[in-house]
Amino acid sequence: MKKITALLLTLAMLIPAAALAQAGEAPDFEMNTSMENPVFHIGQVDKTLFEGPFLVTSFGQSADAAMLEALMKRARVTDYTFDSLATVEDLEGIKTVIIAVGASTKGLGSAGISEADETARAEAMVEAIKEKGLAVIICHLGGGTRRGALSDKYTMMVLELASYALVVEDANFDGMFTKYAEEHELPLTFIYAIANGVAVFTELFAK
Amino acid sequence: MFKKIPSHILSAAALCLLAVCAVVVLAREFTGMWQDEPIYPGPGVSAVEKLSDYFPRLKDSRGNTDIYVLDSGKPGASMLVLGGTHPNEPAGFIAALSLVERCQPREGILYVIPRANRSAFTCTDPQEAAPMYFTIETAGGPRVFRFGSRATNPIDQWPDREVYVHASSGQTLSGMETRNLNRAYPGLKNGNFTEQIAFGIASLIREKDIDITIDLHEASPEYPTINALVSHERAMDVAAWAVMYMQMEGMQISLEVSPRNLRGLSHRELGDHTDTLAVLFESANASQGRLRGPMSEELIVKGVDPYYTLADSYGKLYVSYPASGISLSERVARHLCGIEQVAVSYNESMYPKGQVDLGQLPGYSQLMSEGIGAFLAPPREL
Repeated sequence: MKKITALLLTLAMLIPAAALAQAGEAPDFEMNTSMENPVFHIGQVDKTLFEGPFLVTSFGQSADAAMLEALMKRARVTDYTFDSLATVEDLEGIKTVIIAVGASTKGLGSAGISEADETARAEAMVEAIKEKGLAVIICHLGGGTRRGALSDKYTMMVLELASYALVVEDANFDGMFTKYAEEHELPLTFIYAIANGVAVFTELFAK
Repeated sequence: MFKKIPSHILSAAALCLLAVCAVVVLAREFTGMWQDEPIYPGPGVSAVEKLSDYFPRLKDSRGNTDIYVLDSGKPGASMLVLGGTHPNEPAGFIAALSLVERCQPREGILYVIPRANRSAFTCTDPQEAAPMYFTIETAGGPRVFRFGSRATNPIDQWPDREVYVHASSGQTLSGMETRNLNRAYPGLKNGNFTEQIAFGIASLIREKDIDITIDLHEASPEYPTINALVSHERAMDVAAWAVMYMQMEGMQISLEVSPRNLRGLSHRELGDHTDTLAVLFESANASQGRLRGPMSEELIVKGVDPYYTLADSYGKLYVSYPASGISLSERVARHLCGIEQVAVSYNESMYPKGQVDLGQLPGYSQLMSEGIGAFLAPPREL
């Protein structure tokens, strides 16, 4: 009896250890971008699709939205409104919506809203954007740390609407973005670091 | 002739003597931490002021800390760097100290308070088995620094209430936060000792109309806000670019928005109650964590901890924790690089008051390869 108990206890201890070891396995993938070659395009983007006025917002309330706004400023795009909690009413008069995707529980807490509130807002925005036929650019700027069930939920919501994707490449560790882009013929640009987005936006929004 | 003294009285007397000796030795050790370690002002320092110059009630108290003024002589913007808000987070103190000893601004004014909570340098946290001192080797010999507490010395402020009520918001926190400077902002003129220190710092910012305030911190590697720059919403553009520039230098760093619902912190309250652009840096310090092995001076300085490396291999940390550790030099390098990039980003934002140019600071890779000791002044008689 003692031997069986000992065996069961050992097994019980090994199961979480195995789970932890599995969780710790690092993804193995080859990056297309590097510090020397920081931009990599897949597909050809149609720049004429994206006209101002622009609305810059967040799905997930991460600080990546603030980074996105900083990119817009540096790319000298002026006819935009920034509101990380933008609602359907804010789409009035907008031609292009640029969405920073990625969930942050700290960001949600800072904004004083729950995950359910944010999802409801995002779903309402998606419906309204579809209805109005607005152009959408998805920006995933948080890299690999901005992946996970909740972040991916917001990412997929916007990918389905998007005509162009800008992604910090280490978020593509499992090939999710390349797979989606290939299957849906979505033009996609990988950047090595967020700051590389300035050059991309400057070219994209050049008049 | 002499009456024999009973043995139990002799034993009692011997024990009393031993107790007195122990008390004297321990008291000397304890009060040894009351002595400020020397800071050697470099050529960039134009004046040394006191916090009591801005809030006289702090005079003759351990809250009366030095403010080093590094005035370039050329008009421009101003920046305040706070080190030692939590003296058990030594990268903040050492980064601030190295600015005092090395920085020579070329435009604008830099204010540095290396020991923001000077009282907290005079004791350690109970039950942490923390060493009282740590040593950094410099070109001219070793320099010894105190490893203090997260909170004001209870000798200066005691007792703690069961519940700490943040004065301006009414937010309630654990009583242990009563002596935490970074829960006391924007301070209170007639408040407790820690709130008065916070009030003094806020008064300095108001009186000098300081444009940027950077509060330097560290946290345990399992804490979510780590290797991060936390920014008040007004400073977000400056902070976003500082983070991007740091990432371009190969640093793992994220931007966090200052929570509106967590009160008393420098980035929230100084941003709300003064005109300064308030940001806070966090680096990863294993000696503060719960997963660490034995607490030692080596852990503070070299940051090697196999248990954190193991936790990292399981993906359970918010930072990469290599077997080579995260040294104090690396943590200070992150802070200094962050300060420099905030200044660069501020200057690029073209604020009307002009620029703050901090001059030539040691670069991240240089600090990593040569160690922070190479950039501190050698010890000397003052």
